[in-house]
Amino acid sequence: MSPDFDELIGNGVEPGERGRLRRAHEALLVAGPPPQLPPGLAQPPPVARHPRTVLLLAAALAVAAAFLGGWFAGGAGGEDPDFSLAMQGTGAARAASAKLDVYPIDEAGNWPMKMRISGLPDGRYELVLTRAGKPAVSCGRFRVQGSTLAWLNAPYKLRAFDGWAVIRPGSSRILLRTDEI
Amino acid sequence: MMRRDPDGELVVRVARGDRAAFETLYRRYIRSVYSLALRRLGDPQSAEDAAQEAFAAVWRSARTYRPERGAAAPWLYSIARNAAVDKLPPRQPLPTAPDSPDEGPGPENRAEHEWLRWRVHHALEELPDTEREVLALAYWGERSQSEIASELGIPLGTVKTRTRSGLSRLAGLLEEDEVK
Repeated sequence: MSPDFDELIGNGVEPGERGRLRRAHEALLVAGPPPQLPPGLAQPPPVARHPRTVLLLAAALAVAAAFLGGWFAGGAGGEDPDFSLAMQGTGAARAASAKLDVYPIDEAGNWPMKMRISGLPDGRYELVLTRAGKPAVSCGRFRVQGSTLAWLNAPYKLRAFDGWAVIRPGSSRILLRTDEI
Repeated sequence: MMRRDPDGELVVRVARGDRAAFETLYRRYIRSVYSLALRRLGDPQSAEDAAQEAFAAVWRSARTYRPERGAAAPWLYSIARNAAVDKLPPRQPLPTAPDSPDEGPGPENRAEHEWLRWRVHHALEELPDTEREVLALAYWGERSQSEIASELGIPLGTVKTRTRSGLSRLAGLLEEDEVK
């Protein structure tokens, strides 16, 4: 039952102010109660640097590493990744996490990647690059069984994208995304 | 003259990667965002996902916000609405003719109510706890003012004062939204 405005406000309020209060009263009635927040929304989602900044920085580091590596080692490829990114589960897969190691770009323009992933239910998944936070292009599919190591590849110019995400093949629902998004 | 928009200033700071500003914006708007998503989707889990997606989008897209084009609240509202719409299941084909006349509000009214609800829920977050508490008990707890006084252990006069000042502050916040 809605509260009675006159009873709430009583007498002795000048007409102009009474009109203001009545508008607020009616707005409250239309709006209804705000919902209780679920515990999962008690804290803001983790964010770090902006993803494009991270990718640009990562790409710059990769170029520098490739250049220095070539300078000192005569072009031989190293075993260490050029850069690594953490991935975290979204609300759709809170327990999931992953580490994505990106290796030096090859002459053909491929970025080999190694992903260690855990916390996802067993099944088939796909790693994608995102643009404006949405899946844009595929970096390959893989199967998960427990904690899984998957080798993948990004044959793209990374600066055209803003991060990586894991989805189920054919779905656009993001299960994990790079930590920075 | 352009009015000051504290939320707009927060979004500009978020665009520079300011995490403290992001957290402040989150606390000010999470209830409005979740409320909108819950109304649209009807499912708490999907609404929670949509709310998280909305704030991830705020973090990503803050650089696209232009204060000179308008206040931050409508910009945030459109992000929240899009995040909720993205979670909707694919639409069913519409029947060629309704079986019975639809007596509910039309789309324009629904949109107006949604926007008003957004603003009210956001404004409530700005009220002092003491005022928000008595308003919540009076409007949604179905308590009389005497019952509120007894439940909170405060004089009836204080309940009346808080109710009136809460409504007045709420009116002020809603008026501010209209002129921004």
